Amino acid sequence: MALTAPERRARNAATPLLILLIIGVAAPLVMVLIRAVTGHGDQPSALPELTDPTHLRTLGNTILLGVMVVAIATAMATPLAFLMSWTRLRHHRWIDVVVMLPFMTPPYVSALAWIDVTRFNGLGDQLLGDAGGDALRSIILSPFGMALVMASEVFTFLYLILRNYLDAVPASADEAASVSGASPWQRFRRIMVPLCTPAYSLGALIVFIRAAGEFGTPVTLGNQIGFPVLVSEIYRSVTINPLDFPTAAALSSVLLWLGCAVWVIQQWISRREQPFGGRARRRATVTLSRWAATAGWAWLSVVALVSVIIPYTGIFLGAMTLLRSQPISLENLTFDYFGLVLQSPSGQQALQNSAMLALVAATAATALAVGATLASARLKRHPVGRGTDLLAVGADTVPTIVMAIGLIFLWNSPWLPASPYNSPAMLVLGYTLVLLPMVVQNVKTSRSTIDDRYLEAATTSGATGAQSFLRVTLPLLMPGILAGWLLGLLLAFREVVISSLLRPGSYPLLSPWIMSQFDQGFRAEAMAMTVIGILGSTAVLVLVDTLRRRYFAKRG
Amino acid sequence: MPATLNESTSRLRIIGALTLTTALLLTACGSVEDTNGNGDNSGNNDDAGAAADAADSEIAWDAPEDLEGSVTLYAANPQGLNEELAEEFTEAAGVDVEIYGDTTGSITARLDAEWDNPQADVVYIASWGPAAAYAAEGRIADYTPEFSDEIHEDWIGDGFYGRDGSALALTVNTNATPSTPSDWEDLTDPEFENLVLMPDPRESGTARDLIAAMVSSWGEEETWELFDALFDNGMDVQGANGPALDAVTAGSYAVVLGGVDYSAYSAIDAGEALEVVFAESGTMVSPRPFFILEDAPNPENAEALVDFFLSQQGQATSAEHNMIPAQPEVPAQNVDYDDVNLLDYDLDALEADSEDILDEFVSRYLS
Repeated sequence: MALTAPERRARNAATPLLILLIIGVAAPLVMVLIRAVTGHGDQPSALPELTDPTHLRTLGNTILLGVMVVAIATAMATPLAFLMSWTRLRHHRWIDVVVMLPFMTPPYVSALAWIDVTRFNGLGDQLLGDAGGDALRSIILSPFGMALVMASEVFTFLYLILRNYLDAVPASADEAASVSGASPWQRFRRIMVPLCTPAYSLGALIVFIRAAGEFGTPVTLGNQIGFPVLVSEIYRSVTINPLDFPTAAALSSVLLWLGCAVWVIQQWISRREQPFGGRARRRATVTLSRWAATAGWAWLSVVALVSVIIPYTGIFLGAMTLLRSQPISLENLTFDYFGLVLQSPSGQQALQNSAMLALVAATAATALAVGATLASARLKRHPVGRGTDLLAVGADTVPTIVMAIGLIFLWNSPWLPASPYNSPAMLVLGYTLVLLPMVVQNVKTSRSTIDDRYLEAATTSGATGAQSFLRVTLPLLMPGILAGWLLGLLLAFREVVISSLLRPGSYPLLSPWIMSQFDQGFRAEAMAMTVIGILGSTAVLVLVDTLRRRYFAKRG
Repeated sequence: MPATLNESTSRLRIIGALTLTTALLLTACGSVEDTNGNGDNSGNNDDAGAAADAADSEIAWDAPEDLEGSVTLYAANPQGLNEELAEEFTEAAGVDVEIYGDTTGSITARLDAEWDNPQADVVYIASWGPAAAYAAEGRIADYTPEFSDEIHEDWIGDGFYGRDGSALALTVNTNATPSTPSDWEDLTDPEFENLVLMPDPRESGTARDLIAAMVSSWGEEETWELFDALFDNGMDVQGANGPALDAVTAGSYAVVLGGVDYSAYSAIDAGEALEVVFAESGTMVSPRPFFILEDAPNPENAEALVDFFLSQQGQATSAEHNMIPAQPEVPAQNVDYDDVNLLDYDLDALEADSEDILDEFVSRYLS
């Protein structure tokens, strides 16, 4: 393939990155897929069994659940992103914090909180009466309820990607249409929808893949209502006796193909990215009518109720209840558990370890993501660019437990002369891989708002590659970089699967600590630690957001 | 800008009101009582005193000398007990114990993934089945721990041994139950309609073993008759042991059918309104096995650790944490092994049959 000189330079720079991604992402997945074909130990391959009706039903359930989660997350995120970007609501910074709260909650904890609120004789029954409680229960204990609980966690991805994108859409695009006499509906259909489709499809892709790979809700709520999906079946195969590794590997390969298929669809949808043109980068602002503003606030309240207020009521009640067998009353509530878990040495260590590793991993993932984004943007049709692009999101196409097991297979191989296995470095590696897709999506969204003509202008004006990167590309990528880094930090801090399977002995981490308390019946301690983790995350979020706003205010 | 000023004063007022409410709440609230001794809560337990007592007494374990380095233990819950055993062992033998504590599921998943290059020395899990499977595959080191001739005979497997165990009970929420049941059959009474919860045998190894033990003791027909009646009476099946106990403690149901007893005792010690009942017609005691891996990186330390597990000192520590000790000599805290009326079963045979029995159970009631 004939490459121009800058493209050649990009290829040379990107090749080491591609190799890194092959070792990091592809190799562990291959280790798992090999076992799908060859079997594991004495057990034969389970690929021929994939056409079993039960497995087909599981696949159908997975797709159905993913589609429902995307639909609900879209309904939740799209209006909010618009309101928070283009209307005066954006001055209410706390809304951003509220939207981020569900993302900071470990998903299995919010699923447990929902189950607790809606259980027999639970808070739902007490507040709504038996009939109301029954109605709520029948909503939550259903595939739709699962999708609702899962969407409450993942809609944040879609929201952030859309909001950052809308922030970058220059006012002129919409105003030009308005001046030319387009009605609001026409402006929406002819301007907004085409402009936002690539960003939306990226967000939807990530939501779908997260929903297909997330295990917290399927193994709690899903198992309770008998709605098996691929992840819960994989989880069952590797954790419940008799262990059946080949089935887990075979089902993982299905999930991997599903992920790839969705990726291809997304690539096709976003094949025509719309650069905004170079002029009038003023932000768009729309003044809402009184009616529209009321509707906006009402929708915001509904989203907050479902994604924050109800689960957090369950979490706080859990963290503060002295005796679960006694009714809820002031005498039966206490703040003591917060102090208890903070004083426990292993709890303190868990918080410290998780915070430190999350910081390192989020930074590493961000650096990789910037590299991967630039490489794939420069080398759109070149195999190096395409490969980088696919591998960067590759980790998200399989559930984390499969990735974790692949990492053990690879890095615990006896033939390796040295390995990070059984050290905190292994956790950093694992987190980085898991965060990468999400960080890449954010950086890519920012990249798609950069008009290549800026870079051409820089080159024409005599800027070197480094200069145009530092003075043009990096500042324009900054919103995506910050958002991605922050999301990565918050996600790694509460990550469960990698933390649980790859941690070295006697090395406490936040989510395993919480899970272990649950498993041993210390519900209050578990919930109290969850609250502390969320408060810490919120503090970081507010701090970073303040810095971000200052940074952009300075730039004008 | 007056608007901003207004905004910030009203914000101040809100903060003031919140602080006041919080302060009021704080004074009105209850507090956690110190549930000394059994707070096997992985962090805030400081039982170094108790450990020192045991080490000084006549049941103290004599550690072999000249051991050094560390040993890696993969251990299922309760972690408080594992940490205390590790502490005592380190004190006696001078060997550090690295604990990877998690559920049996995570431990077996990790063991399987690490199989080419084992990292664990000693493994302790909550059910007999996986240990038997590992033994059959030749993955367990051949070592006879020092006190293994002093433990219950049927807790000796093929290279693996029960360190301690728990009885499967009827755990009753005394606030929610219409009456205290005394046998499985009582729960088929209409007064228990929709009030009984059983851990899901697909997720809980002990629930699965219990069904198999019933079949082995009474035969299939009688066992399915019992479960037919239970399910007709609205019994639910849900989650592993922990969530099932939680749902009963919270009052969503009144009785756990066949849950492990030890976690209920901890909850009772904390003041929960629970009662543990053993079925008159018999139940099973589920031993929790340990074993040394075939290619353990630190075999000598591993052997010392498992010797310690079965020593009187180690057994006494297990008993303190509400487990039934493997040595009959060591008294249990709540119920001695010999005082539990057992169904008629053979552990090894159970493992062989339980998969088919589970399939039958699932197809009858859960699909």
